[in-house]
Amino acid sequence: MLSLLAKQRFKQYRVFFLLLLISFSLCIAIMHSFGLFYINMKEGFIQHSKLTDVLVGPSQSQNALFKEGLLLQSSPKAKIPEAVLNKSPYIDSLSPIIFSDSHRNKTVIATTDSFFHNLEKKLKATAFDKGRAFRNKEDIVIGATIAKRFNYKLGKRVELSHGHGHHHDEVMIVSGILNSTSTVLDNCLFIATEAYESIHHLKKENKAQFYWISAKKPIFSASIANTFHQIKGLSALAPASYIKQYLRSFTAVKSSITLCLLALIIVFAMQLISMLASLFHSYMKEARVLFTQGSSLLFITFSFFLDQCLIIGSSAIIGISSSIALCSVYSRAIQKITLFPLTHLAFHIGLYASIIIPLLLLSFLGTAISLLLWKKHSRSLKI
Amino acid sequence: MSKSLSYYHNSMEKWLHLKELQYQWPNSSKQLSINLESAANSLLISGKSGVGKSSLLNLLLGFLRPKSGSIHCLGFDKPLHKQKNVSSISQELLLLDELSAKDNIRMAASLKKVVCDELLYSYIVKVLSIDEFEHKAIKHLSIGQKQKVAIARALITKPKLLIADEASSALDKHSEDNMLKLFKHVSKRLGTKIILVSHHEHIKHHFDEHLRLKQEGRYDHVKLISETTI
Repeated sequence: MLSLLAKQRFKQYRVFFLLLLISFSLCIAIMHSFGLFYINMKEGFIQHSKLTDVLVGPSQSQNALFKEGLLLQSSPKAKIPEAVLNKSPYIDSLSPIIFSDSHRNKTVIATTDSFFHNLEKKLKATAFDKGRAFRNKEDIVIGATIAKRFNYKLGKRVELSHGHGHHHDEVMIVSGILNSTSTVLDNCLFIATEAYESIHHLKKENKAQFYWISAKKPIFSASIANTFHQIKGLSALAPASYIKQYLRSFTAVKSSITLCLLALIIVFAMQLISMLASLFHSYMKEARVLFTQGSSLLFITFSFFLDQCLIIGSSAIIGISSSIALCSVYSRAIQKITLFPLTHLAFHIGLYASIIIPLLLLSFLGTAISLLLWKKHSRSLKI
Repeated sequence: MSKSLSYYHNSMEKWLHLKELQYQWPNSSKQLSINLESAANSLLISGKSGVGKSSLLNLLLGFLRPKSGSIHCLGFDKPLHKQKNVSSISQELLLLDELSAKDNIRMAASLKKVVCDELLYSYIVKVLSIDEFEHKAIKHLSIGQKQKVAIARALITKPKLLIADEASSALDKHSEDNMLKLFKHVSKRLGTKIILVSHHEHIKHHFDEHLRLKQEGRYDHVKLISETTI
């Protein structure tokens, strides 16, 4: 019977429903996309800040250092000798980051074993899903996304590209696959610094674009960063404190987003009320039919609620799905804006709750208004 | 007010009691006063426009409140419009326009939580010739066809009491006869009591009793069929 009622209502108000559906879906898609961007940025920043205690690179702005040295977005020409960094007594270990060649448009990083040890320490999880770090020059370690996307297994032979040419002589063999870290590392490949020198016929120079430093204790991070930041030609930052500052400056953006969402919810409520006002007569006639046919007030209330849920629910499904679809299609463009790959497209309880709870409240509001109108209307009922 | 002409036999069970019922129209000095008891299976209420036929039905159903007096019908405590086994047909018909005739009829059974009797459904649909437009949406039907659907919808729930306001106003002679035939059938087979408001007094011979409302609150109450026929 409820399906019959839904059929009647859909046919009766189809144009109105359709318009409302489009505008609601659009509102929800915007709300969802905003939420997705914000969560992605916040979680991306937090996850990346865990990777290292201190980041050192050639002299540049903090922002550029963060983007290039931690998010591995591009490689500066300047290199820094490891010897300069051995001054601080608080350093536990150093991991060089050398932008090497590429493989199928994915970044290849040359580093040392210590990189993986530090990774385990920072993320408090096993670094390797399968295999191990490098033991010889032919070994290559790949990120979780690379393994999944290209279906690479241990022992797979991998060729590296450099500029226009290919290092056909230097075929690498996958020795390890990293666990997923939800960071840029998932999309990278790693070779030993010795392999990098051998491929490029370089002498052992110990020069890297960046260094990821693990402090003896996290409390020393700021001090180490400060020490190196003073040295000419170097810039350094402690990602954890940098993120705190960054997110603090991001509070203004968050407040704007919250205000936007609130405005959208108000628009939503106004649309709902205007719908009920426009459809008052036919809506009340329908309630009257139900009432004269013996429906209880509870059933009529439920049918009103169902109506609201039908519009709002289908809008939520369409809005969220289109938001996810659009974010997937334009993930590269979004990555340029938010700096991070969209890794949180999947179900995120906080985001969904922040959308669904206001929607549910709106459904109750719509039901309450309909019920009030009905109560007033039913006082003058006659056959 | 003329005296009611009552011919009841004492052994007949009276199901309708309107005791000193008075109704005052709002913002008007016009008043309806009725004192009536009935044991008939079918009651026709007629009268000119504005004498209070529909108001009397609304009083019976509980949509209007009397100024004084009381209404007792079939021993129900609640207002009749809240009773599951009372059906009513409004002048406005109150059908769901986008649904088919069939869906409207079946929905009534479902709303009143009555299992739709397929035999009864087929019979009603056949007698009222609804089968010709059973699957058409109400919005595409004529007023007469809509009236037939409203009648079918009221009867499908096998009510104890059917209250109909101008149920045959848009029906042709043949369809009106069929409707009355159907009313008689359900009254006999299901024991449904029928109260019909109509302008057409020529149909009074189909009813057990006739209540003719007149101007200024007067009325004639006539028993038309002998007790043995009832």
